[in-house]
Amino acid sequence: MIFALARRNLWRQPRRTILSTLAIALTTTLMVFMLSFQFGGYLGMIESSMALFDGHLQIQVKGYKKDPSIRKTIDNPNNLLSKIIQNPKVKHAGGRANGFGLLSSPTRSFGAMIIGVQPEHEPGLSTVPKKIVEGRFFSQGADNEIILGQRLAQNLGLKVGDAVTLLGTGLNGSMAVDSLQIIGLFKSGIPEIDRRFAEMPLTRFQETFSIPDQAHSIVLSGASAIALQEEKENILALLDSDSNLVVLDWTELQPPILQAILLDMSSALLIYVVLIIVVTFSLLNSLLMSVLERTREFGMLMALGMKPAILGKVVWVETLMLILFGVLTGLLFGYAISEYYHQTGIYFEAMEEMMAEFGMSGSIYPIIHPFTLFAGPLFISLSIALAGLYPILRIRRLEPVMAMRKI
Amino acid sequence: MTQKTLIIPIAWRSLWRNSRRTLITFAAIAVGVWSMITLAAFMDAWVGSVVHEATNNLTGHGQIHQQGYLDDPSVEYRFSLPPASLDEAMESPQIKAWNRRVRVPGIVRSERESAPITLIGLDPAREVDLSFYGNELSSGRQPKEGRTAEIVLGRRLAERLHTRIGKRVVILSQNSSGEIAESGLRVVGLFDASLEEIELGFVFITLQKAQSLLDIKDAVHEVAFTLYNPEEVQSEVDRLKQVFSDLELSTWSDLQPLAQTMQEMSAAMIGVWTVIMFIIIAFGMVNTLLMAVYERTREFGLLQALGMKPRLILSQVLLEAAFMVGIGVVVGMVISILSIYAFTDGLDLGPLAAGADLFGSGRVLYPKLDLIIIFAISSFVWIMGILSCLWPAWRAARRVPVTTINQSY
Amino acid sequence: MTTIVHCNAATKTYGQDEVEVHAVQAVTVEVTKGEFVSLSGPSGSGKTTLLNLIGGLDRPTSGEITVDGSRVDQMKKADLAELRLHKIGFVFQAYNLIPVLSALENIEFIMQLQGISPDIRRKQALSILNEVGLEGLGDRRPAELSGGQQQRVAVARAIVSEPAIILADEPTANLDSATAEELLNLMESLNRNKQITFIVATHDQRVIDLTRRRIRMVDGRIDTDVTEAD
Repeated sequence: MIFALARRNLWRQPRRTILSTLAIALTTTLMVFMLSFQFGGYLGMIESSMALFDGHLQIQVKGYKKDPSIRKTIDNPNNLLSKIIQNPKVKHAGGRANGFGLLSSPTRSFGAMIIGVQPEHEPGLSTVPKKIVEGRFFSQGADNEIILGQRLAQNLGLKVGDAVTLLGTGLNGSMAVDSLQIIGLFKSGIPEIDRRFAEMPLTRFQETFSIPDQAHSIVLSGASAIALQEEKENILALLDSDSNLVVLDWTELQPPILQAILLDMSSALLIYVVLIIVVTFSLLNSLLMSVLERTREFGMLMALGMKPAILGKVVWVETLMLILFGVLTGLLFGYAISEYYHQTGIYFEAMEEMMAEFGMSGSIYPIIHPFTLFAGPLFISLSIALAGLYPILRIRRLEPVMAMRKI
Repeated sequence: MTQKTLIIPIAWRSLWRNSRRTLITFAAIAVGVWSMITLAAFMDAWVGSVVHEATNNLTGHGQIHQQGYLDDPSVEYRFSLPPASLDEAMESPQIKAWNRRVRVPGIVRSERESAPITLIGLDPAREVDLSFYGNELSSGRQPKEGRTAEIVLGRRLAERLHTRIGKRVVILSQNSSGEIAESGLRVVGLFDASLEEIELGFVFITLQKAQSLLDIKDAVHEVAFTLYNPEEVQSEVDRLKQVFSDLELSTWSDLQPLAQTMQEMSAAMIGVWTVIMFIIIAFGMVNTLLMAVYERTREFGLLQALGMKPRLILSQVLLEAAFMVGIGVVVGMVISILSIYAFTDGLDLGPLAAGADLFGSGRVLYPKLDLIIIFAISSFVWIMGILSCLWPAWRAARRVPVTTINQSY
Repeated sequence: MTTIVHCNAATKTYGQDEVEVHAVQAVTVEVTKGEFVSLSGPSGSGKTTLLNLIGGLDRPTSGEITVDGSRVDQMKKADLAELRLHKIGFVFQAYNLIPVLSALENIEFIMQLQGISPDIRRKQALSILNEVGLEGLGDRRPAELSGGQQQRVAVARAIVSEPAIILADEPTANLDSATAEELLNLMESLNRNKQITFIVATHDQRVIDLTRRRIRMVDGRIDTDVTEAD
């Protein structure tokens, strides 16, 4: 009976009810879409920035990340690899070594980061092999081969097939000298990377830089950076308890990304709070009015014997129904829009360049997730429901005679 | 004209018939306007920071290079100009500061580590008002003038290399003959920069030392300049193009397209947010006015019976809307001006600075009180608010007196 | 002996073909200047409707209505408003005053609409206020006045622009007998001293007894139209 009353009461003022419902629906749609978009963007950012080189997890010597000295090596990396690959969540694993040296052609020299990689594992860990634009990636068991960033090769004046000289510092200050043949050039789209990075086979790196059977990091990849983050503890357990190795997830491998996400989240949070406050205020008047204008009627009902508590319940149900209409409508639209763009992606021409910095294309794919779908509607409902309590409290205080006298 | 003064007291007093309702509406509008203006100010501050970082990190407002340098920033693409012609060309009332620089890639090596760097030879005194390097060093001093074997490193780079003031490092870079030139230099100073890549990647020596190391006589790789009025950069660049016809001239937005993109994007975002916020507030406004009009239906009937023309009734309701929206907007304006003012000393992004760094912003944001934007947004909300209340106002004026007067509640 | 109101077969019908309500049926009547007319009859007899037709608040379905020489049934809305402003005064049963204006301002309101200058307005309003016996209460808002006082202000407002005719719809319905009598005496003295024509729709017998010309309506038609000789 209460429901029927509540429902009819809402339709006494159809215009007002519809306007209020629309306001709630609009805000809900906004929040659902914005949250989906926001988190889709974050995920994209994380995955893209890790995809190029970092993989999803890395095992390193403690302190190497902060201070990457060539001394901090992992012994017998292949042994560790065979242990780690047993974890079902790990799809690929491979060893890497990092060094720095001068690459020279007959006419030019440039400093570059040299990365030693394992050709058999690397394609599952990094997207560099896919980004080879000239030549090819390393063959299995490769030795005298090197891959350069396209810009680097251009600046050196070298092509695929040419030889390049490497001059660097190996372990304990020893000279690292080598001459390698360029077999491929890669283009990541990030100028800094294309100008300063080169890769060579790990075994050759170990020889040249005097770190036999050692590596600087074990790179792991699984379903995604977020997914593998959960496996951190398990991986750690596979290592010797007395070793000085640590497992790093994406927040530790690329701290700026985490901070950038937090920064964006805090400003987004502020925006959401403002949205909810404004829509609540906007509606508060409707809710108040719909009670106040019925003061005389309520007075009469109470005089006839209806308890204020029941009256309060009716009004409460009215408010809840209003919220429900609005939120459901908004949720539906929000979901529809997010799902549509989830499939097609939203392309920002202006953002294309900015995204290149993160290794992303200019498109963002909103994600559909219980949090992004329901968090917005939940808080909007809570806020308006709370505001709706105020008019109800006023009903409780009504005296029948006074109420009926009111105009 | 007496007609106008007629409706003013009615419109104003009608607002206060139901103070609580009116105050709540004010609150909704005020919060909405506050969010629009404050967001605009902070986005502007953000963009300002990004642009500042972009131009302050040696880019300046404009630069001159040899053709081909920007694609391949190496020792090859240098240029030399008779000092007189350069001085004359740069002696413009628009130009605030300018400097010549040698700028090539190289390697720095300490006892323990080596790292890739960009070697920059310049006269530090001329970097004032031009780039961050014109500021005080975090410790130590600048190299003495002349071909001194002294160098200034970024503080974080020094940490990375496990070196410090007083110790020696070696610089390697390719010279004009294509050979690797080497030089030992003593670290005499350390600098701080807000962007990590600068503190890790730039090293500074004197112009003469750089030229002698690279064996390039009096040539340089780059001339950078700043203007009193950054908006004029394109015209200044055009002028310089006439003088240095075979060199390449770039504005800061050519060199740092990201910052430019950010500017455009943030303007778009502010616009979108303003519109969205307005739509939500508008619901509240229109609803409130609709209710107010509905309550006073009989009154409007009375007015018409007394001979008040419908148009005047419409004006009266619109005037009410104007007051209502106007006050909400003014309150919103005031609290946003206060909010912005509270942060004139800057909003320190603190622990999130590295994230800001990723987007290219410095760690402190300085929101400005841009009165033009504030008035633009406020006027938009006010005018659009009144327009959206046209509908309730029209309804008030439209009613036939008979039906309204005899209407029971 | 000028005719101030002339209705010729005025008819007002509401509703669709099946359910037609003949509120006023072919009423023909003439009122001359200075008359004090009561329009009585049971509820639904059409007296309020006829009053609305005369006042230009409603348009007849057929027939002609002339007020002070103007064809009310043919005029445009804007012109009707003008007419009501200058020529016709209204007193309703309730809700006669603008709640947010004071009594004095309510009276001045009409003159403001007419474009009269502030000083003259004020003087006129004050003098009228005195005339209806509400001296000193000018600054009160309607909510602060009693029912009878409110009606007096309404009357004051109705006459301040010296209209040709005042139409009153059940002006005493909400008043107790003493107050009603005071109001009626006021209206009657205004009619006598200023020659303002009154047409009062009412079912209050005291009002009817006070008027010289008594028109009675039944089911939309004029049943009796009697003028007391005096």
